[in-house]
Amino acid sequence: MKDNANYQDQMTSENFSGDNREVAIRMHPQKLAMYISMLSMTMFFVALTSALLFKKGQDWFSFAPPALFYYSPILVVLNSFLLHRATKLYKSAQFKSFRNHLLLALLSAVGFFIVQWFTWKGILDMRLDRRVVSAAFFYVIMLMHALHLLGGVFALLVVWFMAWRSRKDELFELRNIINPKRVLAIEVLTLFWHFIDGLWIYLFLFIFFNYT
Amino acid sequence: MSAFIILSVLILLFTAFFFIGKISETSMSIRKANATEDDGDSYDDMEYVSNINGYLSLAFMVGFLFLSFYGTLHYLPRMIPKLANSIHGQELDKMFMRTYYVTAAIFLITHVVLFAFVFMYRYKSNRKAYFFSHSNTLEIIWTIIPAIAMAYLVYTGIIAWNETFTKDNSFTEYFGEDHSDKMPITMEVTGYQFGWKVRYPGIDGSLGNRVIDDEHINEFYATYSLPNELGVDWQDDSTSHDDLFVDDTVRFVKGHPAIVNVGALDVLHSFYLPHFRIKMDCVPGTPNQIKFIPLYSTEEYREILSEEAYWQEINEATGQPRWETFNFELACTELCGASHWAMQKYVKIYETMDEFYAWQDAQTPYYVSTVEPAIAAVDNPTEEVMEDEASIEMAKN
Amino acid sequence: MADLTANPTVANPSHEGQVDHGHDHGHHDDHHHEETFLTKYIFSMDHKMISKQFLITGIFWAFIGGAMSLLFRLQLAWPESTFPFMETLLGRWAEGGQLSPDFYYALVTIHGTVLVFFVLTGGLSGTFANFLIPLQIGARDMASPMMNMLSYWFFFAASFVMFGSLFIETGPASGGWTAYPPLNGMRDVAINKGSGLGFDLWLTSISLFIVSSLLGGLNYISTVINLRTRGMTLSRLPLVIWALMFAAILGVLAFPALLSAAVLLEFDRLLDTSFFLNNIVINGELLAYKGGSPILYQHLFWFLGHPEVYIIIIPAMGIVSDVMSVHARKPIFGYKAMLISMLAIVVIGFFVWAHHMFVTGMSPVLGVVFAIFTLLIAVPSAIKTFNWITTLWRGNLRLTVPMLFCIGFVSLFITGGVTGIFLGNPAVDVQLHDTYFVVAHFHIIMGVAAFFGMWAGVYHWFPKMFGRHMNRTLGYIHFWVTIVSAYLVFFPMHFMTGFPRRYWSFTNFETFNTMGDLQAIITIAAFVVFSAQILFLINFFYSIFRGRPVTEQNPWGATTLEWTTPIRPGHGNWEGNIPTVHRWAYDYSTENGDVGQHVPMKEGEAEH
Repeated sequence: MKDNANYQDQMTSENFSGDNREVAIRMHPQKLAMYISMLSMTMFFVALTSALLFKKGQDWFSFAPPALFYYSPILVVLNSFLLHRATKLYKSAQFKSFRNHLLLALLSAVGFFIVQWFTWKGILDMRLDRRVVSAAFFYVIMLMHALHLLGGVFALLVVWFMAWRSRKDELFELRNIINPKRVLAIEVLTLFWHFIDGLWIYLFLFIFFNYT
Repeated sequence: MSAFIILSVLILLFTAFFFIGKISETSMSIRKANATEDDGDSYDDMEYVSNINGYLSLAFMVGFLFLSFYGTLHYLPRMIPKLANSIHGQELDKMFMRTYYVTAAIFLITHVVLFAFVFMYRYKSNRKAYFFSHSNTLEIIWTIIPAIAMAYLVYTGIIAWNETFTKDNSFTEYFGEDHSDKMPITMEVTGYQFGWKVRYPGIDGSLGNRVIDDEHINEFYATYSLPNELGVDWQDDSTSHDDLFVDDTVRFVKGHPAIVNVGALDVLHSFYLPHFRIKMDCVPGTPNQIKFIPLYSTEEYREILSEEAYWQEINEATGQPRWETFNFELACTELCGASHWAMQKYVKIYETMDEFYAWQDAQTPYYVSTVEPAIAAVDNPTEEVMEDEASIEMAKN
Repeated sequence: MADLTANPTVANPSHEGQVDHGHDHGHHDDHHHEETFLTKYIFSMDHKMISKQFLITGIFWAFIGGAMSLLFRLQLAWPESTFPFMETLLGRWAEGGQLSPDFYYALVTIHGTVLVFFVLTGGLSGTFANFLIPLQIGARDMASPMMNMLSYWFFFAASFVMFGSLFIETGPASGGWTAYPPLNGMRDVAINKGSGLGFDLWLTSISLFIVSSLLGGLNYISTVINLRTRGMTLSRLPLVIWALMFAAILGVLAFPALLSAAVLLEFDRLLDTSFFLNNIVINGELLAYKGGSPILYQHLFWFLGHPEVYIIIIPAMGIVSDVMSVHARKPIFGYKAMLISMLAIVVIGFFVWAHHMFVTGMSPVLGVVFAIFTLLIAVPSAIKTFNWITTLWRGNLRLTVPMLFCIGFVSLFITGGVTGIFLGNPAVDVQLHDTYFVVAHFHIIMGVAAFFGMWAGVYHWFPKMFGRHMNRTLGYIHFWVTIVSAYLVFFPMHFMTGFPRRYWSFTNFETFNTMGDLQAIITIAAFVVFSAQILFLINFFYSIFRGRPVTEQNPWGATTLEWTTPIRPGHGNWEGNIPTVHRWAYDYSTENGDVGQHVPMKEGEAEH
């Protein structure tokens, strides 16, 4: 019987070394789990937005969100692009540049938060009653998306910290290229960010067409 | 005390069961120890055990099927009377019976076959199971048969459903007949915690408007100290002045179309007239409507019930046969709080419209009895009141 | 032995020598220093231990929920009597020995919630998905054991919060397990006692449970897709694995909708928004809520709520299919048809939710659409039933305890299923909606039937879980008492067609106060059912510690992979290499006898 700690690695290697398995879908289970959870999160937002449409079918109060709101998609597109580049940079062993890209992505996320915050405040300044359902939906959708984003920021920080800690050790970094663990973490992270960025584009368009 | 006895009996029973289990287990291991080849197999008496359980299955099937049909017949007289007192209700009941015959047949046949197989193919040491993994023919047959049965049921059901719930108020082609010559009774039922506000339109035949806003509810209440939960527009809409609120009994007329506007004040309720096969949720802020035509007056329905044995029995509370005091009832079927179970009202069906009018004429409209005096007391206070106030003022000074 | 035990080819010969007792104990001793009590039993990442944690938590809740039902059954049977012990037990909730309406509704609500979510979702899917997926597909553990552990601990937290809510001042949630607003949409205990803190805790608990379900579901799906052993193609998966995966897919897609409903509801409650509230007048005062729709909540709720019943019943179907096949010594009839009908149920199951809302004043056209889809589900369900019955035909049925539970399941599935045909038809549903007919329907089909599936699984896999046998005689008593008295509880409820459910008392209605004797019979039967479960509990825990030890690797003579592991498998399941799979899981009574999945094809043998 294997020791508990080694056993994880052993399991993973057993799965992917191909000695004893026929891997039906050549995708790491964690990545697959990410895809499935993306499906789940999509359902969450689909439920929210369908609720909005249901409500809109009954009666609806439209209002134009503050101008700042229209800049938010630019930030998420930038963010996705940066992370996409970062993954590539890591795979080509340009670690310093990789870390910088992570920081820039983090910056764009923070920028996005700021934009969202002021949009939120802008709506508050409109002095709409919280009980106006369209305004309440606006808040809920933004808040729920922001919570997902917060998770992404946390994960980004973790990955960046791991990379930063080993910044002096080029050899360690090099070894990590072939170690699928780090690549996997970065890929899953990028995947998640692409998802929440794409999600925002969807929500943005949805709000755009339903509120104005 | 009885609880204690039951408890101790149960405990004894457990202990007994437990020891039966222990003993059987022990005896099995003894038997096994004596057996010449000890293979650790615990199921060498499988044939014996399967026999017992096979017979038990058979007995269970017979008992279960018998009790389920016998029970239905036994309790039938005490169920909600099977004669629906509305045109649509009778259609819905036909649908119920159609479904009942189809499903009862399925229920009976599948149970007989299931337990017969259990009995017939119970374990025998010399039998080998027949390797039978699939058969397209069979599977196609039992895809198609249920599909046909379901198509039949859903088709007939949808027709009845559409006729019942068409959203317009006309009775021109109501279940194939024209009832548009009679002016429907349009009334309103509003559920609240815990009761029903029942409003009739009065002599003019139209309900006074409701305006649900601060002005008509909160301000009205504050100004006149008279709650106006429904937001009836007492001041600007004179059609409300003859509206009647009834306390105990909801009234309709035999053969006469009725339109019920159902709503709620606070939480969800559901307007349920079991004898009429009517159920409609009352949703605060979203009015619903249901229409129907009663078929029998309360008296006629009592006469019909008087022929059944159960309804001839003497009701202990009243000392009369049950049918004599029979009344239709209104209940709530959506959980609405602690007294959900107590939202009862009676329903009366008049024989003719004249009887209904006679009742209506005898009532004092709510506006006349309550609202007008309340408004008058505030808007045009009488001398007496003013004097009183003046004296109070003086006393203070 | 010869006839009954496994054909020699079933058991894995390579371990034959190692699976004696001594080895077992030795194994435990070896690892004492490596795995502390905490890592082995509490914060375990071994899927088998996690599954046992789910099972035992589920059993705990089943007893709490069951005991609650006994309390309110007493009230229903003897509404005018007093039971002094109730005052001792519940204090101010049963002053004078009579259950107060407030607490009656709290009991009904918590009974529904814990049985639907904690017992039949957490306890059933959680137990068997965790236990069976890695063992039957040939994996050492779940794709992410860490997430698996978290899944249990979220479940535990949900349980903890729910249990805590039973003891607060204003009482637990009492607005029904469906938690409809406006009754539950405002934190106003004047409207409903349980709508205060009790309902906040309820929502918290359910949200935690959703997280647990999602984490579990993700894991189950990715494990089945990714970690199958060599040769275990999708078409060779045992049906129970398919069923558990379908249930996980349903959960992953449907639970988020409930989560969104919970979020919006909590906004209404805490931040005074009005998603679900409109024109509410209380004590003559119009509240400021404006523009929401209580019906919207129902749509969101039932978008989960209906798939939820399939999340409950599909794993039970899967367990029954496999266990039945083992004990009938016959392949399951129509593997593909079973699979396709499960898939059909999963897919159609997403388009039927509004049949719970036929009398909310929905558009009749919408009603038609949902009626058609609902009755369509009857077709795959019928196929499954006929296939189970055909599986029994010309079998050699070993009427063991798990087998009897399978047969009981089929009977219950028929009885509860046919009443669904009434309820799915909007014309018939008008009269039946929210009455005892519905109570009878769903208790039989998703309550008792799912429980039977669970018991079939527990009795069948107990030897694998704990390395000991359960007492057979107690098992038989458990089965016969349960099926007879469970039917006695729920079948007579059909006679109360049209009697509104969730009534504290029927005494002030002439129409509904006609079956007092039947109510008493039901209550007595409910006590008998509960007693039989105590027997099960005794048998279960006694057998874990003192049951007859399993002495052979494959006591039932099954063909699936879990029986090729050692009698008490450690973390990692197989000691050597994971066996390779060569055939489907149902090669019983073939020309070559019963053949395990790991046995290579003989020359000239065609795969089924």
